[in-house]
Amino acid sequence: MGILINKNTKVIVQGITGREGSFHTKLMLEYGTKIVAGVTPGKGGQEVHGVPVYDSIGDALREHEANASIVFVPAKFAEEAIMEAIHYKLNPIVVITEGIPIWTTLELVRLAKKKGVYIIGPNCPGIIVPGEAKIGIMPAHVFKPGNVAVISRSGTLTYEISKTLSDAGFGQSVVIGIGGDPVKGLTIPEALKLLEQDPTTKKIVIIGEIGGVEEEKAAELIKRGEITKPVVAYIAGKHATMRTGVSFGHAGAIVLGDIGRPETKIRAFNEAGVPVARLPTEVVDYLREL
Amino acid sequence: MFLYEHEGKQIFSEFGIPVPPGKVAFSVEEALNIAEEIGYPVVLKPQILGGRRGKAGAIRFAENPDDLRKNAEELFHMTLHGEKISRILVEKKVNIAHEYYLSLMVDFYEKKIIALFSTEGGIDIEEVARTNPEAIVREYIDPDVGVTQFIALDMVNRLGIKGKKALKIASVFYKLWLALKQKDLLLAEINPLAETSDGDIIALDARVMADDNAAFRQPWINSLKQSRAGVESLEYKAKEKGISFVVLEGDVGIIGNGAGLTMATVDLVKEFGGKPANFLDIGGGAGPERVFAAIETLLKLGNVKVILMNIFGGITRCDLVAQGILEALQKIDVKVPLVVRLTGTNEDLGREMLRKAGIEAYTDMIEAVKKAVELAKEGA
Repeated sequence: MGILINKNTKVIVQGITGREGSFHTKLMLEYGTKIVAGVTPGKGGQEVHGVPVYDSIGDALREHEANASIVFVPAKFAEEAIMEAIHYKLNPIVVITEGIPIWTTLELVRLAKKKGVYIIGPNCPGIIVPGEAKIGIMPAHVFKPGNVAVISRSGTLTYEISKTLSDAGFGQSVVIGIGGDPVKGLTIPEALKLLEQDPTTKKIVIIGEIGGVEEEKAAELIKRGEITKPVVAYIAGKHATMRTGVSFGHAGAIVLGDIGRPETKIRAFNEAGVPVARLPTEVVDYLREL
Repeated sequence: MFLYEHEGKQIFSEFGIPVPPGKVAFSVEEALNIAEEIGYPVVLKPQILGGRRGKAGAIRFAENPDDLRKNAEELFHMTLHGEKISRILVEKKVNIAHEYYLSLMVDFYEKKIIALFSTEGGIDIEEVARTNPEAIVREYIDPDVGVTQFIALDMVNRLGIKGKKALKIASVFYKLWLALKQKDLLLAEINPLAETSDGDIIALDARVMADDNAAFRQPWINSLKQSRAGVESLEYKAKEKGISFVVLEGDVGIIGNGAGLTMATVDLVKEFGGKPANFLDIGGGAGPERVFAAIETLLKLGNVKVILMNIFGGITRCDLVAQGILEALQKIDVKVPLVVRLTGTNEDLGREMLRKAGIEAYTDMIEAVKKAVELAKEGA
């Protein structure tokens, strides 16, 4: 059993007929994820890799039972799609789409919270419970089942570090890519609280980066004793602060004045007793020691 | 993206926030014409994106054309915080009776708006917070409600400002909120917001940040970007090709796939004693054309002594990356050594393609980083 999703989670793919949506539907099906329907307005009646396509979630739900959604809809049209998923209380709603305006995300996340559903992302690789289900775009072969949870603001760096974990015998209970945007649904502190309750997870890896205050808030939780499981962190962008007010690839990887500086994050983690790996390859060494 | 002061003031004007009459000049002659039009005395304000201008002596006043010519010529030859001054805002000088501070900012974590008002304007708000915190009121605004007139008035009243003056400041607050919401802004700061000797309230500066993601519904964002020059122009042109590019100051050119991995590569180069020239992320699922464009972009930097590529193939295919590298080697004169770390999806195919072209790709990223740093030092 994993957190947020498991092998019984029934998924709707929003934007299934697009290039990305269709490609990753195939890969998710191959991994064993239960994809029950796809949605693209105007394409109802078609099929993508054997998955029936509907014009709307409402129509899909008349034929199928579903509890989660993954969104590939382009940024321009994503607001409507995510609103639809929130309306039908699909949970979680995994938003892969990059480039959604920050004000739009802010309003959607507030709405999702009111309705009691989780948004993961936007601009994220998704979530995988190795061996059970993958609702996302990550390359499945780097992950192995186990009891280390990974929470990450990154995509590729998560694959890189997860592979070193798998190779060293540290399988994963769940890997959550929470996304690279400044405003997002599930945050590092919220993910930590879920993982604290998850019986499978024994240790936690946080892959943070410059920008925002999530790492600092996570460190506060740990310091207050609300998270008792051992945590190791890595922060990307330690030396990318020569330019402030500029985003490094992720819209959220930006230093604004005193906010988002790597040294503040590292200090906060250290004060909470969380070791911060200097190199991505060192995460595994710290896990061994904990 | 951050806006120049004059761009920010343009937005303020659209929403009815008073700003001094003025225009931006790209030459001394233009500055003279503008001053003639609005009337002396004027203030000359270099337009740069970062840092303080006042402390650096870069804000000048001019009483007459001779005065203006002398000062404008000096300013156009100045470099401020690494930015060469290429545009100067020429504005009518205002008689200031008092300076206030006013700002609205999206709090990404709390998903609310932070509203700040202070009776101590004209200096850094961080400094006021340290030395005179009771001169600041802060309010977390629910974005569903917004900065209403009554919230704004209450904030102003709390610092002892009453009556007509309070109403004028609150009105600016409300208009700033409308601008923030309707223009997809993430930060809008007026420091100072001046009270003139005639009792008018007027915005003397503008620090505004707009959301790049909103460009599809705010076409003015891309128009502003297109009007930018230098480093920013290079970065914008790369963005149009799907590449995230940030210019740094060293000599090790860096290309990675994924923002996190690329940032980590920048960090590693620094950890092992090298100087990163840039951050360049080709993004997820890049094909040969984006790899080609990435190499081409890096070579435009001029000071790059080695190119380090760190590719972890997940959705990105190593063979397509190799194809892009080979095309670049054939079509452009790549004079600097290429260090490639290639692993993941289709890595055998990709490595074989590179091997035929005489490039031995690394699997381990630390080894690749060390090699690139070493080559940059040899090339020095």
